[in-house]
Amino acid sequence: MATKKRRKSVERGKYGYLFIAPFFITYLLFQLWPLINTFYYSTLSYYKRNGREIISFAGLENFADILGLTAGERPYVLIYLKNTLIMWGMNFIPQILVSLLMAAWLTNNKVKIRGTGAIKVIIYLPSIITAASVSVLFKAMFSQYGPITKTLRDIGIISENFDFMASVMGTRGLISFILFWMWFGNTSLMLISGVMGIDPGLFEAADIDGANGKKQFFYITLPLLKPILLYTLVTSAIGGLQMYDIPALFNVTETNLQGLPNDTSTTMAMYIMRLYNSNVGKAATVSVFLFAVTLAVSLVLFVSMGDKEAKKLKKAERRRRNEK
Amino acid sequence: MKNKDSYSASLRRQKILRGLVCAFFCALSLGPFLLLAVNATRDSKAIQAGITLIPSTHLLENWKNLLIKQNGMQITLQRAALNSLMITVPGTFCSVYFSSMTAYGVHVYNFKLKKLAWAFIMAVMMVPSQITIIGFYRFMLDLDLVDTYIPLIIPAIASPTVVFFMKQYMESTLSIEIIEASRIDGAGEFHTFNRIVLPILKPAVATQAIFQFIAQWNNLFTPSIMLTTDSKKTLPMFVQLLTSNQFRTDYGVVYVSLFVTIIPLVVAYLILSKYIVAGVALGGVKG
Amino acid sequence: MKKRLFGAVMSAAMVSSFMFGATAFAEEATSEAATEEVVEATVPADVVTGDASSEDAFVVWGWNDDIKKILDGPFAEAYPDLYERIVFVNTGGSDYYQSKLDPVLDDPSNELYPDMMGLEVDYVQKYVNNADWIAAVADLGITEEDMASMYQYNIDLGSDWDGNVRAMFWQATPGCIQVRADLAEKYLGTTDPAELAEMFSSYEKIIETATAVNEASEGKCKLFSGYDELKRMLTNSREVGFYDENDVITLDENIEQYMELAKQMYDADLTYNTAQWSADWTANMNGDGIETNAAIAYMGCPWFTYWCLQPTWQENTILVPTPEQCYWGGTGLAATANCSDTEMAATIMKFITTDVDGMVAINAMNSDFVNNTEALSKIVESGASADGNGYLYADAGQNFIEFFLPLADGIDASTVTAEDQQILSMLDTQVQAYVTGEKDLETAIADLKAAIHDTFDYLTVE
Repeated sequence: MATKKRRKSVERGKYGYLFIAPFFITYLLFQLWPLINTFYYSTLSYYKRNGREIISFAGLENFADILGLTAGERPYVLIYLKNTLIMWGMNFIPQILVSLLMAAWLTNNKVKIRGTGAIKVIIYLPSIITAASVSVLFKAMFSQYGPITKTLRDIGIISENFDFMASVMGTRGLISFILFWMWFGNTSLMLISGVMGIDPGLFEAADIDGANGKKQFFYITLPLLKPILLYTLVTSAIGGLQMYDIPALFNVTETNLQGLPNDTSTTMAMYIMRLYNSNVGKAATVSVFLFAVTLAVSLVLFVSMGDKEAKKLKKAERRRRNEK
Repeated sequence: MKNKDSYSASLRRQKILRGLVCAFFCALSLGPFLLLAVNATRDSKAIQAGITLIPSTHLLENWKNLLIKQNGMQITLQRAALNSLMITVPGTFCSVYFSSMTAYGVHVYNFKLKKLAWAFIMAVMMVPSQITIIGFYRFMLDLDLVDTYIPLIIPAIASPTVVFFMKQYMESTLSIEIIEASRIDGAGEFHTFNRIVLPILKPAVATQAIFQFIAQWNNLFTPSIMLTTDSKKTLPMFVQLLTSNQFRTDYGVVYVSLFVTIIPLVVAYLILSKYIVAGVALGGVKG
Repeated sequence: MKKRLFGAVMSAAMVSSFMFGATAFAEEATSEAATEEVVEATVPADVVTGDASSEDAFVVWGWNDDIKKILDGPFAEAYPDLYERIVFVNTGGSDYYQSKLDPVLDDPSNELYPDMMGLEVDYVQKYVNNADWIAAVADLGITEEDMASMYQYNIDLGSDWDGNVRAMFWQATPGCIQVRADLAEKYLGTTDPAELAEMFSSYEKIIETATAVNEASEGKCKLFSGYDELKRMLTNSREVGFYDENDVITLDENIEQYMELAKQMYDADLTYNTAQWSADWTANMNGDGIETNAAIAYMGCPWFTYWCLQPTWQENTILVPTPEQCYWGGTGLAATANCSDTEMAATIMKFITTDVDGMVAINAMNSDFVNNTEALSKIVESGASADGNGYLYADAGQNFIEFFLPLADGIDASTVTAEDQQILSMLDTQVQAYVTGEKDLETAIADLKAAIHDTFDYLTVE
């Protein structure tokens, strides 16, 4: 029976190619080929002047330029990487802490919180809303003469002249806050399902041993959540590196997509958007740089998780899915 | 005895504290929507005066002002929403249908390059579109597809994350016996997939369709590069246009247009929240 | 208990969003009819006006309906047959104009490939220096003689590096300061143009005047909405362009002066620190200076009067010269290299930018200060536009066109480069960083140069 089945599968193997063909054709054409081309463009000096394209081979010059290694060049890409990381970090640290808290509390059977279902639904809500709209909404409320700014001034939380849009911390802080606001619910839900995937027997045994809630959290929940925490960290970091919608609509110049104030809320994706039409070579180089950083971040996941933990994550996920 | 009392007292205190904290985060999540809804009903001057939770009576007036403002903008909100639908609906279909197909191909059949194909899909899962955009844009320029919807729809056929999750789902729910039974009945492979397998995958298809729809509906980066004609722009691009200085003259208008872009999503979410929240565990959208 | 509470919150949220959503959609449905009326009453809602697919369509591009209004009005009257063929593409807003226009210019087979288009001063040089895009007016049969009555600075603006004229302007745009009469009377104590002119005669005086307004109004009213009202006065009277003939970035001393003045105004709280064109900037035009913020004066020019001033300024505007002669804006008309009907292009161009009668008719439409000295003297003689389209404050006894005549004479715009629009936007970023104390002047200047070089690789920092 078993051998028969295998033979049948082999005979039908050609269907496998047919079924996966649309995916691979599309991917090769619309992703891989453009990626290869992006690498190629990054070796060209390719810009427009008065609408005319000026193209010549540049080798690795573009990379030296964007990293500030050439005399007279500023490492803008590093500055924008720093901006991106700061805004991402200021959102991620509170996000993961709050999410852990929510995960611990909402799964706790001893101190039961009523309405967990409703809480989950509510805190997840912001993450499905169009980031562009959210950004504009926050901008309208926190602008120089916006209603929240006005109210904060009236009750004396900020000084009469404080302007979020002219303050580096104000703007970056608000962008980070928007990111936090949008994503903490999502992360909480991920961690909650992670906690629910932990064998309940472990907690029961800990109870018998007299370990209190705090101890259980630090010695059982946290270590077992490590794979999913790392997964969250890496997906969030990769998403964060591509950050575009929110800073691009929040506090920018009209014509050049500079993140105000003082270019401190400009991200790498905004830099690519600024250059994609006027300076193809440089824009491609920035993309390749972004690719390298993203790749490095992904590798961190695989290295630090190791094979064992990756398997654990898979197992945990499968169990979770089976429960559904 | 005393010990027990203090234990239950501290339990109660804990309960209250945790309830309050959770209530705070719920309020935080809902607050901006509430302010948005209230501000959409107020006039520009009142909005500038500060925040309040008491609605006013200017909703209709703001909406009318938006309609007037739109005339100078070359695109209306309704049109932008329609454009978004025209991209998102086929895009969602492409990504979910072809991803199921791909996952099925890898899951059910044995072929030489199977392992390699799967490794490839896993490897490219994390590659974001921002990275290939320059090459993609130049390629679309060469094909004369810039300023059309094709570059926004067709690439959705290759959605590695959706493939990944469809395959995970198949591993737990799709038994080879059902497929064998269909084959014995003489059904062709594609017929089996479309008529027998897809219905079994329905729950996963629905979840992934919702997430794909949300992700594509909210996309701003790629459409910003691909679309140049105003009348073809999508809803997030409309929102961006609205904030450009030429049009940003009336706060009431800004709020009412944000209101009509955001609130339908909120309502749809609340209706579908059961499926969405359950689907997050399956790895939904992430930004 | 708590469960009930959350249930209540949830259902309240649901119900309210449903209600709001439903009303919004109901309104959408019911106001459909109302929309139609509005559309007809104001400007057409479509991007493209006319049938682009017709055989003899003549496509004209603009970023607003400025040119369209002229074509619809005076031109349609003079050439009804030609007018029938015009297809107008309005891209709505000048920020994205170039990114929309450029791909189409590279693609003459496009149905909407322009036969003719409008180009703003800040980037007109980019287009006139690309002969693949733009035709020389000499090739359209327009001679130097036709341009005899034009202001020289406008001819320079429309000429490429070799001196061929490729774009022509219908308006001259001398800069001025526009003062709101009711507020001037209240806080500056006068509505006499000469006295006001004295208060704006130098940058030091402007600072003094702004300080006086702060004191007189106890900070409730300001002279300017933002310090950037000074920007155009200084950047558009530069003697040095943003780069020299070797493509080395150069900054006129006016740039530094502007930064210093802006800082002075910011530190002394002399303005509301709004950005030009922002919602707050517009709102301050309408304020009463008691309950709502209001600004007394705005940087202006002839087109600013009919294009930007709010109703509050009707019969309430006094004109004052800027400390230095400057210009602000202006739209050039150019025919494309692959123009389908050069004869028609020439006819339109001549009518709008060289024909005395045509330009008198344009002036009659919106009081614009036309780019033709002969037409201007005719207008002054006839007494047309004396009240500046109804905006001038009658008691000040000013004549709109006459006021601008001396200011337009001898404007020098030879410093304008193709990259001005973007460079000026980068300047804003650095000025903001400097005035808020983020960095010192030297750093701001160095950062500006670096940013220019980063965006335009071919321009170098020495």
